[in-house]
Amino acid sequence: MADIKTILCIEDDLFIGEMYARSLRQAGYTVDLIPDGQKGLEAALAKTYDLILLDILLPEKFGTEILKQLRGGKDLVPHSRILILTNFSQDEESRIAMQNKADGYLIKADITPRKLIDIIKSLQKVEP
Amino acid sequence: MDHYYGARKGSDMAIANHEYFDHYKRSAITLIVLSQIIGACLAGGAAMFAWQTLSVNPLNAFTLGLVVLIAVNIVFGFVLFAVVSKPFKLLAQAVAHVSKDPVVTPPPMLDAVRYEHSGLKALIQTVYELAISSGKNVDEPNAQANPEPTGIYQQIAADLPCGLIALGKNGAILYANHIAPVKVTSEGGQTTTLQFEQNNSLTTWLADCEANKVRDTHLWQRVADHLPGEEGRRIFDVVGYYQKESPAGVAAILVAFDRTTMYESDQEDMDFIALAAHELRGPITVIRGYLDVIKNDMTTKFTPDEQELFDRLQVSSERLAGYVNNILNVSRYDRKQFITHLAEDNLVDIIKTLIPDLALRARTQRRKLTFSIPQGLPNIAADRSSLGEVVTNLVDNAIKYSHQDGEVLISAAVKDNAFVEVTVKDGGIGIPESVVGGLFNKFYRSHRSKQSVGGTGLGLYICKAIVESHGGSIWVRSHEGEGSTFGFTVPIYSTVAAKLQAGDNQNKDITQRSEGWIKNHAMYRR
Repeated sequence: MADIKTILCIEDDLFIGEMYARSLRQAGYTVDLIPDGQKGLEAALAKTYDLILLDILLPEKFGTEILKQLRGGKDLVPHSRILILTNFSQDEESRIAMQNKADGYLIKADITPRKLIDIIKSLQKVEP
Repeated sequence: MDHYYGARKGSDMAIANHEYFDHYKRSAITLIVLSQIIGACLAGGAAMFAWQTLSVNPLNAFTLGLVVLIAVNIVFGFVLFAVVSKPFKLLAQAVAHVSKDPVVTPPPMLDAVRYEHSGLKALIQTVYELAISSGKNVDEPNAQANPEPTGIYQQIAADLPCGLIALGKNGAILYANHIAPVKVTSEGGQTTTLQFEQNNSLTTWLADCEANKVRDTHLWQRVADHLPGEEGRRIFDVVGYYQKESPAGVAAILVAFDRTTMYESDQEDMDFIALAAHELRGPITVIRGYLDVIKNDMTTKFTPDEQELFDRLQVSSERLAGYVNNILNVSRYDRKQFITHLAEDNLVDIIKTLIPDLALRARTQRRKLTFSIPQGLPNIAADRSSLGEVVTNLVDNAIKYSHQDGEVLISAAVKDNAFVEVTVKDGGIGIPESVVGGLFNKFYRSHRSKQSVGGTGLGLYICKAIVESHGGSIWVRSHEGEGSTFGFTVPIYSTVAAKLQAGDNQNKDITQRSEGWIKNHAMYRR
């Protein structure tokens, strides 16, 4: 899989979204920040991203639903990796259901932008 | 079989079973006395008749009387035997009939009114009822036992306000009432939809009973029949009764009480905690994130004083994040939603990831943090993020309850060839003996709450839960005024590898995948 260069960040919290976008851009990535679930899904399908950072509690469309549409049946984004980034503690079953469709699942409060960049770098080394 | 039941009503009016023998004895004695009187009269009459009317000499007349007496006694003897032994004959017939004798014995005919009056009918019916209640089928002695309840029993089973499932020896469902959480399989059989925990399932219980028990009762709490969010999800408390060699072929009976309403309000509490945590974590993310950004961009410009303040901000934000995790973990643990998933890991690697945070915490609070961890410790079976939380909580406490410039020592060693033991030692205020016992309880903060220190009182409680879910144990040794040592053990991976891989397919899959799976929290933990 190609090196990660372009990133779609679907995140409705402006502070958090801009924080990630700022640090990721500084680290050399191209970042599109979209604060809305429905528009985020459209963007993910319209353009080829190397990585999608996906929040769960989003306006218009939940991250769980976006993931289901992207990877529920046929994989519509085979060229992308997906990292779930959330602060919402889901029950185990729903979390495992997401696990099978995504490449990672992170609690935002437990990472900093710097750690996120480390994780993205390590993600690149791992074949999905 | 109906005529046995049908006649029962009439016989209730007659003789009860416990009165039967006295009644029978009275009849027999009357019969014997009467027969003797009749015999004596006949013999005497014959002797008198021969002597007076036929003018036989008295000796010969007496001899004739004696002969008549013997003859009459023999005849009466046979008649008496037949009458007196008749109940035993019928009783023996009935017993042979219900005991599935290889020679098929017809049931005794009891329709005569005298049997009803004598109480014999009732007695024999009792034999039948005992045979039926012990599971033997009277009408079809050679047929297989039929566990399908009939008549009134079926009605009762169907109308029970709780789920009722009868399981055969192989665990197959023999009967389930309409409330029971079961579904029809593609093969046409039935299977329960209850979602038991992997290590406390119906199958493991049945296997354990089969191997070790004659009778057993088991309770499962909070067992759901569907995934959350699925239509018609119910949550049950389930009681299982096991009986080996049960006559009807029913190995176990499950009674499932629907507790959905009660547990759903728990679920709402959980949802509240999850949402509250989500709210708290938003600002924490931003604070930690921007502090990290500032650290990157700005700290070269800070004065030493500013640097100190900045570090304190960072430490506080990290502790705050840790406490929110403690609250969530405790909430999950109390709802039996907390499971650690163990994978092969290395203690040194785990601790290395914690060092920057721990060192900063120690430095800003003027404690000396020392590590004494030998090289070459064997790999352990660990849930990395959970175990990290244990170490962080213990170090956090050691810092809290020790003196300025005091040392906090983290060491590790192999214990009993099966565990790696980690200890966190401080030379702080220590814990009085009287309160050590309750230290791992929820909200237990003992005398320390008088000190000017924060904390939720949840830290040690969740540490204990995490360590025990690893199969290890946690302990404390302390002298008041001299400091405390907390220690915990986790199993060496090689000692549990086979068990981990054999016991749980899902876990095996996770273990295999864990290398390629990125996570910073207990993805697989509840």
